[in-house]
This record gives sequence, structure tokens and C-alpha cells, in this order.
Amino acid sequence: MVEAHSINAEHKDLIHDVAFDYYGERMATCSTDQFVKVWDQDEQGNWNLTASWKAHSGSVWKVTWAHPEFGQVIATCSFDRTAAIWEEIMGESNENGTLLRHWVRRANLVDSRTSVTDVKFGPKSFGLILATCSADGVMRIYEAPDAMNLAQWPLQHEVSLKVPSSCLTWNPLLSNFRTPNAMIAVGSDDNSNTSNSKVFICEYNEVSRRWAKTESVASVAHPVHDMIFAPNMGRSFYLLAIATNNVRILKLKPILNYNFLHSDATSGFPYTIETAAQFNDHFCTVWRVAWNITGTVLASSGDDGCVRLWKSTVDAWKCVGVLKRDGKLPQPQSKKTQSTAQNNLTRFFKLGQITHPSEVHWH
Amino acid sequence: MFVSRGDVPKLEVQWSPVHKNKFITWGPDIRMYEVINTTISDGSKSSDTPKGLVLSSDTAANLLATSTNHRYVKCIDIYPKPESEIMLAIGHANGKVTFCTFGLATVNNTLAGLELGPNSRFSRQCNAIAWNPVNYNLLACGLDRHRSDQCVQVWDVEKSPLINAELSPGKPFFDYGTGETAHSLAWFNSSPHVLAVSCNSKNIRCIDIRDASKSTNVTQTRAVYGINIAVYNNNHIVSYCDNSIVLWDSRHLEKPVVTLTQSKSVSKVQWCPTRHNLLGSLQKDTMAISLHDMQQSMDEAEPSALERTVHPGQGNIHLASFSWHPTHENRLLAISQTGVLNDYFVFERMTLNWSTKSNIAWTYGQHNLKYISDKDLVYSSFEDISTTIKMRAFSQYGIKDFAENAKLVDDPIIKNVWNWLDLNRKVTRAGLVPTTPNVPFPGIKTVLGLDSGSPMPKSELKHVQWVDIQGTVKTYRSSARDNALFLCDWGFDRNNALHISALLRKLENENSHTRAASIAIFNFKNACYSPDKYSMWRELCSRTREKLTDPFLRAAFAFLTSETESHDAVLNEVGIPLEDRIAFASIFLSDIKLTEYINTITDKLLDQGNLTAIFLTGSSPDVVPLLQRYLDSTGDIQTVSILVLKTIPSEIVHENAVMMSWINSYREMLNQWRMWHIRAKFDIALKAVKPPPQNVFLSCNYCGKNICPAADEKEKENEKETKVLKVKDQTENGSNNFKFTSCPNCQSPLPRCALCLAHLGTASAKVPLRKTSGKQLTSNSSYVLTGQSVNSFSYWFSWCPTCNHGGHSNHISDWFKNHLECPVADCVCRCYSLDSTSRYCSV
Repeated sequence: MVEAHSINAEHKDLIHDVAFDYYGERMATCSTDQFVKVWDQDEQGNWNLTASWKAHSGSVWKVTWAHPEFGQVIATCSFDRTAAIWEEIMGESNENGTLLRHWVRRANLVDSRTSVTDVKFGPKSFGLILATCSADGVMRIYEAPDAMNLAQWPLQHEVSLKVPSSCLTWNPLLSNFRTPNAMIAVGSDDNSNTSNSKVFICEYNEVSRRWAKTESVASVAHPVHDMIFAPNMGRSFYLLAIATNNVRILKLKPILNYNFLHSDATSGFPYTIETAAQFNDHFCTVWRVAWNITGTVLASSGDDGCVRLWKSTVDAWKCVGVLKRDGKLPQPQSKKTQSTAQNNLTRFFKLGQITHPSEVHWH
Repeated sequence: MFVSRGDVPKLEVQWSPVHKNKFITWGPDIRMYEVINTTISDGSKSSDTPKGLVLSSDTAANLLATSTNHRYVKCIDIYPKPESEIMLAIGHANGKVTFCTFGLATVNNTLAGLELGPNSRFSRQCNAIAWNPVNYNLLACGLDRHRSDQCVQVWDVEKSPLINAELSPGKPFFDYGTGETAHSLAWFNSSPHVLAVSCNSKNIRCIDIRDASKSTNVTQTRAVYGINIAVYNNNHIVSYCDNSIVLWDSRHLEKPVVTLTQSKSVSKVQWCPTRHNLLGSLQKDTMAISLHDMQQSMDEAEPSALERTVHPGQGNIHLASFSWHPTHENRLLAISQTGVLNDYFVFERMTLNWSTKSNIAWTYGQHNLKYISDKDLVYSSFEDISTTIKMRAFSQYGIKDFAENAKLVDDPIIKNVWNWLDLNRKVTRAGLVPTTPNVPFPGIKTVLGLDSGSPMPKSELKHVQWVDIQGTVKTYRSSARDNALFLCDWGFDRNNALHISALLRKLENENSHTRAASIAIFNFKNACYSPDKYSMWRELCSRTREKLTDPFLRAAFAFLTSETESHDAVLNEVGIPLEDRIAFASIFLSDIKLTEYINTITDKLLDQGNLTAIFLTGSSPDVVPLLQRYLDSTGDIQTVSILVLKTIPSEIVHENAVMMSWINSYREMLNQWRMWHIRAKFDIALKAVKPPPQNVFLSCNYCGKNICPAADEKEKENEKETKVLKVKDQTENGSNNFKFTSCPNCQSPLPRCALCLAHLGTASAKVPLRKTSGKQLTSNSSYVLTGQSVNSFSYWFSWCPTCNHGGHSNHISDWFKNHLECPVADCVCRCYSLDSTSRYCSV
């Protein structure tokens, strides 16, 4: 049986987020123990702890990397109602002559009066811009006017969504032609009400120069724990993966025959939202979702303790793999099983011991 | 410890605190089970039905004992002394406390069968019972109110005076609460002499059994049920009432820490014994257990709970109760109202992420991270297109020429596309097929004139005589059709047998015998049957045709046996390459039918996003929707970008936002993979980025003028050519030696290299110039100039933008191999470590 590589994270409590930098060479983790840790990958592919510090006075929910163009910068957000910007600087060298790097807090964003649940840097083309959302349902946009001065993060916009927000994601626009406006999707994990929408689309309006909520996605009514836009990679539509009571993939398709160049920028760009895929295989709550670099395969984790992988094919999305949380990996499929499983689009790898009663029957 | 409310006997479940694999359930009767692992006997699973009750996919429970002679059971607690057999203390509705060992009484267990005498003359209900977790001999009972009797009694079961076999009721070791009602109670682990008790539906108290008068810790609350104290943090007390779960801190009992309001009334709360701050609760008539992950912050903020629900038992049965396993991490046992048991493992919330370098990392439990990368075998099973793209990029895919690209890919369709483009270029270069500047690679549609919407030029109809039989077949010819045939690699002279046999020989060498045969048949050179057997043979053929597996043979037979003018069987034979089918169509189909056929097949392939359709569209604007469709379904940004780069004139590409966004997406991906060299080659091929304006100028310290003459030239566009030539002449002649160690304007010396202390631009560093004639001097002359004035990169200026110190670049980089700080005295700038991206190099 193949095993996944294991890292002892050395956090004293539950790890809430893992984030990779632009190149995938560095990794940051954050935890209930209020610490943030940074890991660097060596040539052999092993991850080594290079920094660890107490970042907040409450659980640290999320950590995210800025584009390396702005330096080695991460942002964190916490239950302690703040978000923080950290930059790695060169410290003193030790006896061996190796340089010590350490992280300093450049800014503390204290506008929220409740737990800050997510923080994400915007696409590089917008400059050094940061969005946060908080448990009181406010989405905030901060912008560093001077990329050299990470201490200044004036609050630029506030959008009140009026429901507890749990996660946000920027639409990773590459070109300004197709979608003139910046777009953020915000999710809510409010579980008191199962009829209201839990996914909101906010857009920046070039004319009024304001962010505003432009859309509520009615089809998602269960608490949303994580959302992420797929890297666009030239596709004619945008994919939004949602972790809610199931794995949901929404397709935002710009309406064709619409002249983006000559349209007035007030209304943003018109698009339709449809559900591209929906999977209940995690059986219960889905916690996190993540796309690969091309936005063609989605990974999700859920209450069944599995990481499941979903791939789009010409006509549909299908499950292409299941990894047990303990990293027991499937053996490469033997020829025998391949021939018998031909009718079954879903490949389910039985991975050693199954400790969960519900996970076997649901694929 | 557990309270039963209401009169309906309900089901309860409790793990043994002592035995890791035993638990009890009680309702109408008391049962003891032992958990067994069923996965060990996995091999014999098919033959043996699992014994006992199935708890989960890999655990089952064997019923060890049942005790039915306890009626009116109100509450039970299991004797917590390690290494003792299971012994229950049972509180009854009549106030008696009995002990049950399921008949397994051993010598040292003398309590079995005894009754603790609540010596009241009137029976009153025993609401709660709890063994002391440290002093195992102490057992606390909470009783209903009866006149002035005490509601809390603590018995010392080891002191024999207290145990009195029914004759004379003993006296409790401690009692408390005259004339009150005790609803629930719990011992503190860390201070085992303190008992938390809720009384009279209105308060919770902490009582020190050493001195009950010291009971000062009191709070008024209605939440008096199910007091539970956290194992990890003994200050955390939880209780509930109706819809509220109330959290207390024993140090500040005055007011609740937080009240969690639930939608239904709560029936049980229990702290998870293996995890900090995790509280499980069950609401009436629900199918899920709610988990509350309590969040506290250092400051005064009110703590809140991260809520989640878990559904043991697949979420379709109403749960009656649950019990956390005392030691196994996050394991709980749930019992449904119908008595179905479920052994459930609560997974910690798993976070995961996927890096641009194809690492997937996720959390395992509380402290571990797991990851896999594309180097792991399992990763390949995800069929992640990005790994394919990466491999192709490494192999210089796209930078090379068409035929080479075809060799680099495995995908037959993409391979075919590159081969076709290679052919296309060959025939257009040879002038066989006309091209336009905007469409350097004409497709079939282009050459047939179907693009423009104008009708296809009229074709000449020809009736071709079969060689050996009587009868004719209609064929069509026109120059446009000839062009199409060229693009299908059928560009041979059909009247020249030599050409055809050359082609056939080639195909035979490639082992494509059937293709050769069918092509030959289509071209009437090989009629291998005699006329008199014709009809019979046709019949035979059409029957065998169905059985033929080779599409070429199938098509050939279909062609030979078709009676009508219809050639559908050939045209729709998907096994034949598109180019052969089109070639066939452009020989045998009439103008109208050909147009129809080409349009239908184009639409079909476009709809599928099949790249083969590029045969039809060529590099006309029609290719954009095709590529978009292909990209939408495959995500292969690389092939799309490269096709655009290779087939569409760059002026058109630069104008088109969609194509630029593809190209930029691909460049961004190469950047993320640090394949900068490959990206740079790609940029060069495309001229994807306009040369950036000069953004660094060297100005003289003294006169302030630009010391780089080249930069001056660039600004004065018109004078450029002449001046460049002049400078070049000077250097080449050597007479007017172009010294670059001083400012060309004021002749002041340039700064010195911090290391060698020579002036920068040292003349001695010059190497002989390469001969470049003036004609070769392109508009991109700044490169040539710098190449002349400063001969190689090693001697270029290099300086730190932070401290402004610098020198010859090779000296500087040598220095920083062994040093951290700037070579200039008193300068502590860590010039070389400032730019974080520089730590990575291109892969």
C-alpha cells in the first residue's frame, strides 16, 4: 500500500488552513493554537519548517500568500477580530553564517468587530489589494497604495451582506477585456436559516467606484464552508467550487454576443449561473475545496475523512480518485479491476481500513 | 452522571471508563457489549456473517451479558477503578442504589447484589449517580426532594459500615441539601473532593465534601440538567435546559460563559474527553449529533462555537443518546431510538490545498499534514492535464517545429493536427495551394471558398469509366477541389499511375495496407473482380462488410458495393481519418452535397471541440471558437496557445483579446512553474510582450547626463540609424578609442567597482568585437550597442538599488557567494538577500 508523505505539523491544536505560495515552493499553516508556521520545500520535495510564530490571540482561521512580486508577504485572519499582514525579512546571521529569516507584522487590520473568517489577496493586476470577510457579514476591501509600504492598508470599501460570512474568493481575472469588473464571491455558514442563499457575488462598479452585492445564488441554501474560483486558463466561463452539504460546482458563463469593450461599465458583465456538478459522495459536510493549476481537477475534503478528486470530462464531471485522510493511498489499479470497472465511471479505491460507517456506500 | 427525564424508558449508552472495548446500554434492560474488530477476519467475510451487532464497517459488538432484573432504572454509572470488572451502580426510581456485575462477581467485588440504603421511609427518585473519578470508593447520588431529607448523598463503598445487606441502612459518608432536589451532579477531576450539583431547577453549586459549608460557588440558572465537566479543562462546566446549552467557568460561576441556543430541546451534552474544547450535544428527535468547537480568545471577546453536525447511522434514524469513547480520539457511540448502535469516528475538519507545483496537502487529525505530489504514482490516476502540459513544456513542445511537436505528444488528435500543419505548410510553400497573409494556413473550407459565404466555384462533372466493368461513376473536378485534395495529402495526379503507386508504396511501407487499398480503390486503379460475378460479389461484400473491423476495408467495400450515388457509408465511416473522407467527398460529391457535407462535419467537430476540425478551418477566424471549445472541455491551454502562436499571424493575435488571454494564461502558468527560459522562448516566438521601455538610466554623478549613449539614441528615433553607425565606426576603427570609463559628456571618471577598485567600464575588459556590418543592424540596435561598449555581462554595471553600492557584476556575485553584507566598509546592506524571488532559479 502506498502512503502519502507525512509531516508532523507541530501545531498544538487543530490546523485550520494550509496555503501555498505562487510557485508552490512555500507553505503556510495556521491553527487554533494561534500560531502560523511557514514551510519550505527542498530539492528532494521535503517540507522543512522555517518559521513559526504566535500571530494572533485567538484561533487563526486562514493564511494566504501575496504574489511574490510584492515580496514574501502573507496575510492571516483570526477569531481575535483582526487580520494581519506579515512580511519576511532578513534577520541576523547566526554563528554558522546562515541567514535567519523572520516574519514581522506590517499591519493589523482591526475594523471588524467580530471574528475575521477569511482573507484573500486580489489578482496581481489589481495591485496589492486584500479582501476580508467576518462573522458579522461584512466584506472589506483593503488596498496598499504603495506596494513598498506594507504598513499602510487603508480600508477602501465595506459591503454588508448581513449574514455571517465564512469564506471568500476572488475571480482570478487575467485579462481586463472579458470581465471589466473585479468580482468576489462570499459564502455564509449561517445555519440558523436554510432557505436563504448562502453564496453572494460582489462586484466592483467602475462608475460608482464602489463594491456592491450584485447576485445571490439561490441554489445554495446550506451553510457554505469554503469556496474557490478555478484558475480561468482561457476558458469561456468561470468555475466556482463550493463546499457546502455537498460539493457544488457553479459555472458562471458570460453572455455571448455582448460587446464588452463598448458596453458601459455600470452593470458589470452579464453572466448566467448554472450548476455544473453536484456530488454527495462526502455524505455529509464538505469542508474545503481546491483546484489544480489548470482548474480541471477539483479536490474536496469532507466529513467522511476522505479527499476526493473530481475531473471534468467532455460531458460530465466524475470522480477520479479518493484518498483516505490518513494518507493510505490506493494502489495503482490492477488490470483486472480496470476491466471490470469499465462501466463504472467512478473509480473508487478501497484504501485499507475504513473506519467510517458511511463512506463505503455512497459512490 | 446521566439523568433520565420523563417517564418513558429511554435508551442510553455508555462506554466503560475502564475497558476500552466494552460498553453498556440500558433501557428496559441493561446490556453489556464487547466491541470486536471485524476487519481482521476480512478474508472470510463472504462465508461468515459477522457475529454480533454491526457497529460500523469494521467493528461489531458481541453481547456479553444482559441484566433484566433491574426495573425502574433511572441512572447508571460504571465503576471507574482500573483493572476492575465492569460494575454498575444503578440508581432506581425508588431511590435505591444497587450494584450489578452481570453475575461476574469476583472475590474482591463484594458489592454485587448489595443495596445502598437511602434510608428514607418513602421512596424518592434517584436522579443522578456518579462515581468519583479519583477516589473510586466514593459514589455520589442525587435524589428527589423528600421533606427535610438530604438530596445529595455520597457513599463510601469500601467502608464496610456503609454496606449493609438490607438489614440496617448505613449512613452516607457525606450528605447535603436538606429538603432540596438534586437534578444532576458531576465530580471535578482535578479536585476530586468537589462536586457540582444542580438543585431545585434554579441553581448550580460546587460543593466541597470536606466542608459543605464552604459552598460559596453558586449560580442561579434554569439550566440544571446534565452537568458535565470537561476532562481537559476542569473549569469548563456545561449544563442544559430546554433549548439552551449553557457553558460555565467554575472560577466565575456567577454568569454563564456563553449560552448556545439550539433549535430543539436538548437531551444530552457531553464534553469530548480526547479533544480540547469540543462539546457534543444531542437534541430531541434529531438524527444528528451537534458538535460545538468552543473558540476562546485572549481578550474579552465572548467565546463562540464553531458548530457542525455529524450523522452517525447515515442520518436517517432518530438518535436516543451517544457516548464519547474515553480514550480513543474522537470516537463516539450513538444509539438510536430503536436501539441501533453506531460506532462513529468524528473526523477533524480537514483543510486541504493544491499547489501550483502539483502538491496536494491536507490535514490529518489535529497535528499532522499529509501530502502527495505529482511524483507519486497515485497522482497519475487523476489524469491531471497540468502534469501533461508540464512534461510537454519541458520537452520544448511548441518551441520546436510542427513535425517535432507531433512527435512530442501522445494524443493522436493533436499529433495529427501538427502533422497536418506540416503538410499544409509544405503544399502552400510549394505554391500548390494559394494563401492569404491573414490566413497562412488555409483549411479545406477556405480553399473551397466556403468561408466567405460566396458559392463554391462550379466544378466540372466527369463520368469516369470503370476499367474492367461497364458503368460509370460521377466525379467532380475544380481547382478548388484540387486544392482541398492537396490539403488532404491526396494531391497526386489521379491520371498518373506512377504518382498513385508511389503513394501506395509509401503507405504500404508504413504498414497501412488497408488504407492503401481503399485509396487505390477510390481511385479506380484496382478493380479486382470480374463483371459477371459483380452482383453476387456485391451481395457477399455487403454482408461481410458488417464483420470487417478495419474501417478502410469497410469503406472500400461500401464504396464498391454502393448502388446509388450515395456515398454515405464512406463519408460517415468515423474510423477513417477526416482528411481521407474529405478527399473522397471532394472527388465524388456534387457541389451542393459537398458544401453540405463539409458544413455538417465542421459543425459536428466544432461542437465536440475536436481539434481535427482545424483541417477544415485552417487558421481562419473560425478556428477561434474551435480552440475555445477544445479549451473549455480539456483545459489544454498549452496546445491552444501554441497553435495560435504558430498558425495565426501575430498582428491578429495581438488584436484579439481572447487569444491574448489564452497566451497570457499559459505564460502565467510557465511563470508559476518557474520555467522562465521556456516562457522567454515562447515570448520571443510570439513577440508576446512589446519590448519594455528602458527603465534604468545611468547618469553621470557630475554632469547628471545619461552616460549610456545607446539610451540617447533610443530617445531620438529619427537620428538613431546614423548615430549608431557613427559610434560603431569609431569603435571599429579604434583610432578614436571609445573609452567607457568616463562620462561621454564631461569626461569625469565613472564610479569604481567596490571590489577591484577600477573604474567601471574598464577598457581593459574589452574583448575583440564581432564583425557586424551596418546592414545587419536592425532597429533593435540597443542590444548591438551594449554588446560593443561593454563586452560581456561579467563587466556590466551592477549595483544594489537599496544601498547604491556596486561594481562589476562578476566581482559582486563572487563576493556574495561567501558574504551576506555589502563589500563597502560600514555598509550593512544585505543586498543579495533582498530580492526574495532571486532565491529560485528557472527550471
